[in-house]
Amino acid sequence: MTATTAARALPRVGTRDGQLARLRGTWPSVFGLVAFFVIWEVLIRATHTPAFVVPAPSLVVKRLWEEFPSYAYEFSFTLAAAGIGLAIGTTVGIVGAVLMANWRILEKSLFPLAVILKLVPFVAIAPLLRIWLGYELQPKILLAALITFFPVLVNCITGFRSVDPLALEFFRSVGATRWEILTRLRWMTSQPHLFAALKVNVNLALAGAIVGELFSSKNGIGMVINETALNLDIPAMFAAILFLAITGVALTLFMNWGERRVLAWHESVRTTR
Amino acid sequence: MTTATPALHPAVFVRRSRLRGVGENVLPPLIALALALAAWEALVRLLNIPIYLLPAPSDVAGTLWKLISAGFVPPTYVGAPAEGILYDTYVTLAEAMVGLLIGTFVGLFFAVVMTHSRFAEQALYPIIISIRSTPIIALAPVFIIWFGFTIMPKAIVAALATFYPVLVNCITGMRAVDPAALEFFESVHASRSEIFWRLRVPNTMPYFFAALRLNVSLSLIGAIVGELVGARDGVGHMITAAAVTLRTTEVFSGVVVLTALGVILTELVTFAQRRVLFWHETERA
Repeated sequence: MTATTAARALPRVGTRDGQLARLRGTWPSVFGLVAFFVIWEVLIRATHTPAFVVPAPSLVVKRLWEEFPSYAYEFSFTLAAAGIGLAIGTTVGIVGAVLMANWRILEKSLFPLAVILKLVPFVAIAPLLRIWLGYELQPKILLAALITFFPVLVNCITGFRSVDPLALEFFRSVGATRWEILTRLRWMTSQPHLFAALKVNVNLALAGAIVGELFSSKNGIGMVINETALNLDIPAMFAAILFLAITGVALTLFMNWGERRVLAWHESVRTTR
Repeated sequence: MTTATPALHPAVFVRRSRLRGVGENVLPPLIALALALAAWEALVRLLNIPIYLLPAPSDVAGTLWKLISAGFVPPTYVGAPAEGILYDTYVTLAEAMVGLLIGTFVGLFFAVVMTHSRFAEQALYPIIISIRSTPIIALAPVFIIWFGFTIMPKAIVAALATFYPVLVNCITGMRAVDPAALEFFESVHASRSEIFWRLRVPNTMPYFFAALRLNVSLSLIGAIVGELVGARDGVGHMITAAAVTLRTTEVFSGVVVLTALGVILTELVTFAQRRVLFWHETERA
């Protein structure tokens, strides 16, 4: 063997060790999840709990397996409403933040109001939205947009404000315009704040769309939950919730991955790696 | 006691600048709010929008005043039209606070367990992430089936909405102790419990309060969602009943009351934080 192959072999051993360590690191997580479901199953069987009170996980998984295509179809409506609402809320929020950053009077007069309006429980107007906008996607889109708008606005402005004073002084000293300071400095510092809002908003938008569907809908996973609850078809209802849990975890993981990609330059990401 | 004397001077300055701050910071948002309400009022009056579709702010204010001045009246029968809003507010507040209490204690408990045992942390983490990623609203109908139209389903939804911020913030706070301070504690042979109570717990307080401030509004939303799905009283129930019968001014009155409740609770937490964390640099600055 030549020295080069030996040298090449060394890191490979190292990575295999790393993989082993990672496997060893994941086994408690697997254990936790498995234990959770096993305890649930055993409790249900031992106490003979009827399925309309709490279904056993095996029954829930079976129902999910049967209903998966229809749930996926219904969920596409929920996802569309949440996605469009989130896009509208985020865009309007960022535009509003940029406007406020450019006109001090807007920020002074509207930002305190936005902080209060962030506390409005918009889910409470879900019954009203049915009267205004009917049974299609629009009321859910509006609800998701309303819920997500204020966190984006407030976090984006907070990010604009949290500029390093030294960097700001440097930008001014080289004669940067307000617009340049906004796009090249303030925009960058607001990225972590913006992403924090976005991560919360993905779940909020989904929840908003589901609340809208619980009240008035022809389609959507919220409608499924409402109908199965009314029919006391609890295994199917748990199957829908399990479906939401799986997609929710997938979305969370996707957002974390996106955050690491977009904020790769930021210290909060660099230090956790 | 010795720190009281130097604090006197800054206090004088703070008082004066706070007075000027009222003019500078409170007036612009008030003017903006007045303009927005006036525009809304004008729009409704000019376009003759029917009151059941979109009521003018003055109509909402009238209804709100009527509902508040009616006093503390429980509904006479199930599904009775709202006479007063104070009783419903009390019910919603109770549900939210019970839920917040449960959520906070569960969050704190798991934070302590997960910071003390690496195994527990790794085993519990996926379960907790799953619960957090599931829209809790979807679970509300289940709790209604289990517990009926009682306080419990709303409190559980509120607890599920609030335990995660407490958990994550407290874990962060307990981990993020100053390494130098930790080394010092170890150098004087402090026991594990001493390090916990005298170093980790104080260090966690700012993180805990940040979570609490977020959670008071989350607990209200949880309670309302629970009420929307099934309830006999509470502001959420009042809103659904009013929406079904197109008493739109009552819907808006309910939203105004809930927002006011959220603002008051958030301010209370900020006030408590200032009292408890007077020693912390973020409060002193």
